[in-house]
Amino acid sequence: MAKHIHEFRDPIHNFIHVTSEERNVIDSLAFQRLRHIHQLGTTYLIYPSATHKRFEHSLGVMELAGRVFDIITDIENVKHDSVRDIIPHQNQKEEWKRIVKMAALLHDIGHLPFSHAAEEQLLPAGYNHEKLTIQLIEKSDLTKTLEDLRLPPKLVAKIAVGPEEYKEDTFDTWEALLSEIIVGNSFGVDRIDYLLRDSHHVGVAYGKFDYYRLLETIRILPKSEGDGTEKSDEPVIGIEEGGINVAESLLLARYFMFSQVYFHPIRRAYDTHLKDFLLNWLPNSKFSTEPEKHIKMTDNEVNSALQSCYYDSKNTAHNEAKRIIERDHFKLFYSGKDFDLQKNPKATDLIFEKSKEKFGAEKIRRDSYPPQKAADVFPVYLREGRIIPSIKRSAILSQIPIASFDYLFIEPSQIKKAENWLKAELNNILKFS
Amino acid sequence: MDNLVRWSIVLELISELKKVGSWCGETHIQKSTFFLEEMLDVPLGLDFIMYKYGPYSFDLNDDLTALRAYNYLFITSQDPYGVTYNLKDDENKLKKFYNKNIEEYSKQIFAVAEYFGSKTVVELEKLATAYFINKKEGINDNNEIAKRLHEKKPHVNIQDAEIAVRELMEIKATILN
Repeated sequence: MAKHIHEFRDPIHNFIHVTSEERNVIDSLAFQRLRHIHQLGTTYLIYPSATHKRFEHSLGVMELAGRVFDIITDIENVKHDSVRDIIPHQNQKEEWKRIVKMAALLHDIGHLPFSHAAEEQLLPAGYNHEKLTIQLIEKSDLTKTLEDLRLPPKLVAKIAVGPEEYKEDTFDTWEALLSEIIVGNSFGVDRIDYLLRDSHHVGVAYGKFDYYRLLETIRILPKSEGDGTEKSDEPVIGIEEGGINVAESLLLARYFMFSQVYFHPIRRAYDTHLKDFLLNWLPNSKFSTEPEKHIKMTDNEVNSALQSCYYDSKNTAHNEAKRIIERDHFKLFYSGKDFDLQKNPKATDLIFEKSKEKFGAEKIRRDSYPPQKAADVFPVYLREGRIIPSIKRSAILSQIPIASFDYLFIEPSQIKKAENWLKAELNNILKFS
Repeated sequence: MDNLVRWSIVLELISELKKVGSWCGETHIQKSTFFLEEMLDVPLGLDFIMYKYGPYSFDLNDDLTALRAYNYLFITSQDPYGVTYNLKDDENKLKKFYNKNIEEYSKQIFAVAEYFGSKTVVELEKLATAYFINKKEGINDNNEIAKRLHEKKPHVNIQDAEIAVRELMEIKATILN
């Protein structure tokens, strides 16, 4: 008898189970391409074992999305009357689960080679990887595969990227909750999987947390934001009280992974060199947004181009290829500091401009990631039946710093000069308005 | 609009909301900023979408996160429930750099605080959703707006929707005159 459930071995979840229809999608060219997209871009140049790909991450996100769906729609886990009406009837649940699992599986298919973040410069105006994801789901060969499986592509795309990125339509409350399962700030399974998987492959312990316990406590709860007289019943993803400590460890893991791995200055320097290389190498300095061309463009093509440009000294992209291959990356000479920003909110902008004037724009690079997507506020269902905000239950959550960086790099031969110049000039620059 | 200018305007709005006794949870700030941008035409450059319980800007959520990270705001939980945003003394340091920009929009900021600052979360959800329908969908008939409000947000019954639309139109007429 033919099997309808299949398994993948996985270092994080042990086994990932997929149905035959999910396997049809996994076998598509658009999804198989993810076998050739590094999950952490150029991080393997610093952490050598960080060579895992978007392929296994996407399988992991699908596995977790299915588990969370089962938990939050279990009627035993509905803790408030306002939530009861939102949960679909038993006979509709399986359909919704198929949709949310498929959305989770496909949430990353629009990623550029090396999961590159400089989408604004490397894609035409108005595009980002989420828009490419929508396009691949709604308007490519994959669309027909989904339709044949009776999975509405538009709904899959909506839930895969969420209301922040899907601008063509509004979300009803249930659709918004389903996308929160995948991309939610506090307990989105995308984040749960990447923290666990990245820490495993990078070889650091601080990304790990007891996610089995966390999943068991995830609930749909009313936001319970109010003012003492009236409160909102807006449903959001929260947890039962028993999960509060693991929620703390998830947010700490996130903070440590961002500050130690994702924001590692040398990794960010390589990213800027890769961006410069791509701007020189790509036709019109842009990746194509056509689905057929997107599917053919992976890290393999970029790595191959890096090698050939490196050995061709006349190539316009030679110098940037050389930086990466000979590991001659720019050096960090300033990173945004709270106390400088207190003196002048434009501190890093001013140092950036002044350093370009002093050393020449071609010798200076900037890379930044502003603080965003705070995840410390969510409702908690207490054992005695009350629902309170997380920060009232946990003294730790609101104390965890919000990770961000703003780095200035300089050509390596200039690093000492730049450090001395900054030491001498910093106070003057910060006075400049 | 430059991020830092927008942040200083948001801080000023929070400061004015506090003066009129607003709880200043995220919903209060989200909906008040929505009115500031869409009804009072302050060009903050925020993108508001129709979310679970009314207009919402993910960009503004990121702004609030950044203002916390840079020590201009902090959050607390107060009885009986809810998270409230509070200003740190440092907020003045940012505002002093952008005093001119704040002054340019001070009338609009006062107006939002005056007319919406004392509203509850539930009232703000209804008023802001009604205005979103009026402005973004171009529907001007009060009954039609109320009907759409009830369709979009079924937890708001039609009578409450009609009351909210009437109140919204009165506020709009007063503010814009």
